[in-house]
Amino acid sequence: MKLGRKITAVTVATVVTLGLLTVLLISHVVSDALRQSVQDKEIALTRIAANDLASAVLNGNYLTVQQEMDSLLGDRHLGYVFLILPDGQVMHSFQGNITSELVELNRLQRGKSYALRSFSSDQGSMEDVGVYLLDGLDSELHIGFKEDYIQATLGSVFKTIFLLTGIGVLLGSVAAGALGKYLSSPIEKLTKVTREIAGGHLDQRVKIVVRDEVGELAQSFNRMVEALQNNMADLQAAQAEQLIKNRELTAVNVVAETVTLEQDVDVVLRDALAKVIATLGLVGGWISLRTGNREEQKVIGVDVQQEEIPCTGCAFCDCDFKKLQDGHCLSLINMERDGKSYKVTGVPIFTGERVFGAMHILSEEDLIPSDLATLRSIGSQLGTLVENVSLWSELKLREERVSQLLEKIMVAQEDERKRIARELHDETSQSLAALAMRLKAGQGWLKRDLYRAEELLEESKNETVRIMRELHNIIYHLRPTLLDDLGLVPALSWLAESGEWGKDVQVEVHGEWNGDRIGAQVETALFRIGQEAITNAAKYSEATKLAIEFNLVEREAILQIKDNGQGFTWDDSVENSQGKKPLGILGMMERASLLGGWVTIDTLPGAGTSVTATIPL
Amino acid sequence: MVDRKQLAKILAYASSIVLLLLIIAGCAPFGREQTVHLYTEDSQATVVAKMDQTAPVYTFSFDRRMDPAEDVKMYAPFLRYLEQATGYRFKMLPMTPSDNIVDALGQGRVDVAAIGTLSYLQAHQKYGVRVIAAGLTEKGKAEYKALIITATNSNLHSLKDLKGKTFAFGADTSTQGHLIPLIMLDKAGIKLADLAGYTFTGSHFDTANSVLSGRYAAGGIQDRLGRELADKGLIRILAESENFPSSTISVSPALPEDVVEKIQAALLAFQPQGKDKASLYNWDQSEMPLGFVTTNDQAFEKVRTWAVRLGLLDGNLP
Repeated sequence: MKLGRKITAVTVATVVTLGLLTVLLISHVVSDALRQSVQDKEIALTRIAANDLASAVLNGNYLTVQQEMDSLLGDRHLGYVFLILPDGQVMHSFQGNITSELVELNRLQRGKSYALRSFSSDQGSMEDVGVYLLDGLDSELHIGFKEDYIQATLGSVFKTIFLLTGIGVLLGSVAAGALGKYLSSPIEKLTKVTREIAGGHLDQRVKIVVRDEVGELAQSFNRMVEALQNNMADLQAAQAEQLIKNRELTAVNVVAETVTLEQDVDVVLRDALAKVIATLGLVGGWISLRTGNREEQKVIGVDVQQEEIPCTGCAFCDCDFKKLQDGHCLSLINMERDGKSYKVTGVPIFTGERVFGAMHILSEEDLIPSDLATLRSIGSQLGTLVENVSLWSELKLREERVSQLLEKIMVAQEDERKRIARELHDETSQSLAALAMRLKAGQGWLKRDLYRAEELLEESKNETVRIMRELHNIIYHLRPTLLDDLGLVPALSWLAESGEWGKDVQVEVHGEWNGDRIGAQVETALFRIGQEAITNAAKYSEATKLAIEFNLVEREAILQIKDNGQGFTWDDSVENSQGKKPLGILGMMERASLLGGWVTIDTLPGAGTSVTATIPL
Repeated sequence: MVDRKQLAKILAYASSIVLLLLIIAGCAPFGREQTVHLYTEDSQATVVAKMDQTAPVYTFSFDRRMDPAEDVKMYAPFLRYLEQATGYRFKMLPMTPSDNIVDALGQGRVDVAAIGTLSYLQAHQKYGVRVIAAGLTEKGKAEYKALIITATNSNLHSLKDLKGKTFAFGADTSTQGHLIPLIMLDKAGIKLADLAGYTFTGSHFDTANSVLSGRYAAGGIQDRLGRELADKGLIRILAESENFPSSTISVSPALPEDVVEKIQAALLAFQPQGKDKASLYNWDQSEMPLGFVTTNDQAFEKVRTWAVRLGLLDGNLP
């Protein structure tokens, strides 16, 4: 049941009940009061009559008494009068004779000043009122009052009370209905709004302006809904933010999953871009990646045809890159495609301060800031990826070089051993055998011909000197003592001059080296690089001049070996069948690289060759 | 489906209403007894009211002195005192003018009576009625006087002027209203025959009314009432008597002695100016305003002589 109806029902029930009770109570009270009032008057009237009759009775004027009693009956409310004399004789107003029943009906009790008794008689309802004729005298005067008129009066009063109460109940019921409506109306409003809010319409408010408890409730309710709405908005914002973060994390994650260092950087970037576009729900995009030359770029497109890409041929604008580095994403242009306009947004692919290129994204609308931030993060991630792939490639290359170098070292060691063995066997060993034979012949000639013996000994001594020189050369080639004794430039100069050149070679030494020794490692490395260059020049250049230039410039040791030979073209013919650089050149580069330096070779056919090794000190 | 709690509430509500209605209804009288017949056509039958016979009841009566109704009112609280003091019940039986208190007392219809000297003398002579107490008047004695009064504008100046005038006596049995005025007239040398006429009004009040109204030239009256009226300027006192024994409380000769003694003790203990004053009505106007003293028949010799002489008593004892 609705509240309004409940209030109405309860109030009407209360009003009806109270009305009923009121009628009953008022009837009872009025009846009692009226009866009491009437009885008081009846008693007073009876006493007055008794007083009037007393003297006549005491004087024995019974005729007077009888007349007065009869005259009392002139009052229409009186039914009878009778008098009990002190001796028990009874005088009465009846035409016939009074009955003992009536006489004894309402006798006075001793100590009571009056007696009342209502009864039904053959003359109707009566109330007998008895009083003493005089106080202290055993004589009673009884008057019978007709009650019919009292009943009639009471009936009239009750009718009036019933009527008034009925009207009151009716009005009260109408008022109860109005009250129920009045009280429940704001609560119904409140309930309606509550349902709306339960249905998710948090913008609904209760419009109740009454200044009572319901009004306060409505205001509190509105405040609560306001707070709820704010909380919901905050929650939705947090959810949206969370979704964006999730999207960002997903995008970053898919990019991370694509990272496979072994793959080519182009493949990796294409995969990453494809996943970013799929994850962020974009239309397409491309990556412009710088190659080694700043003016060149490589474009990797996803869902975008190469010819569609604007400014494909354009160089990256440093200004744009500056903006990209500063965190500003660029919506460069609106790109028309299939009759539809798309936004193009660019973010840098960078790591640290290095920018490798830019990622351009096609979207139907301007990207929201969070997506821009995500793309920027991905740009950073791709930058790291490019760098890592690059480093990985370099590492792989270096590993290959080390492997080749090791192989070369082993071959070189073996060649060196072979050379030493061959030289010891072919020359030193043969010389020592000849020396031994000469010494034996001289020993034979010692006893026969001293001169011959002396001659043989002289030859043996010369032979021994020659053998010693040979041994000295062998040892010197292993590591010239000049390097240890005089330093790099004299050692190289000796090496060049003692080399097996096809032609006479003029060796020149340049540079601003003052003879100070540099570190043994750098010195050895530069010596070996220079040794390789001189050897190569001696073997292949057919040069007539060789210039050795050594400078110490700003904590760098720079050695240049330059010949005026035939030079060569750096093409495939230089590299061996595996596409690898010649081991000699590779060894030079590796030696420099191990010490943080590098080797550059400048050569052109007919223009000689210049090998420059730079090693930081 | 109605909730059990709601059902309990509704039941409690309905029960309380029903209970309230029952309570209210219980206050109203239920029905009436059977119909009472008021009268019969038989006018010959005598109906006598039943009187209380459950306890010994002694009847009390008195000399009519003033207005009978006032007498009843005055003696009613006195009787209640006697009832309280003796433990007996008393019933007042006023005498109508047609009744004779002397006979009533002598014949036992009245047990105790407040009567004047003349009544006592007559009752004592005729029936041997005993006097057990005499009333103390204003001066603390068991004596009183009578006055002969006339109208203020009367030309009477002495009793002798009453010759040829009319005279009003009180009750014929009254001492102050009849006997003493007769004595005073006799002493003044006026016989009843000298009067133009006389009457017995029945009480001192009626005597005063007769004189005040001028119906009678003079009247014999109780001294205290006469002085009160004279003080108010209503009448003039023509003559004042000597002292005579005041009113008595006499008892029927048939009354048992122990009852008499108990009543006498109660009378002597009566303090109308003391502890019993509050309950009394106009006792000051009685002939025993200060209570009672014992007395006996000898105290009435002088007045008995006068009564005999005046023919109110034959002087023969039973």
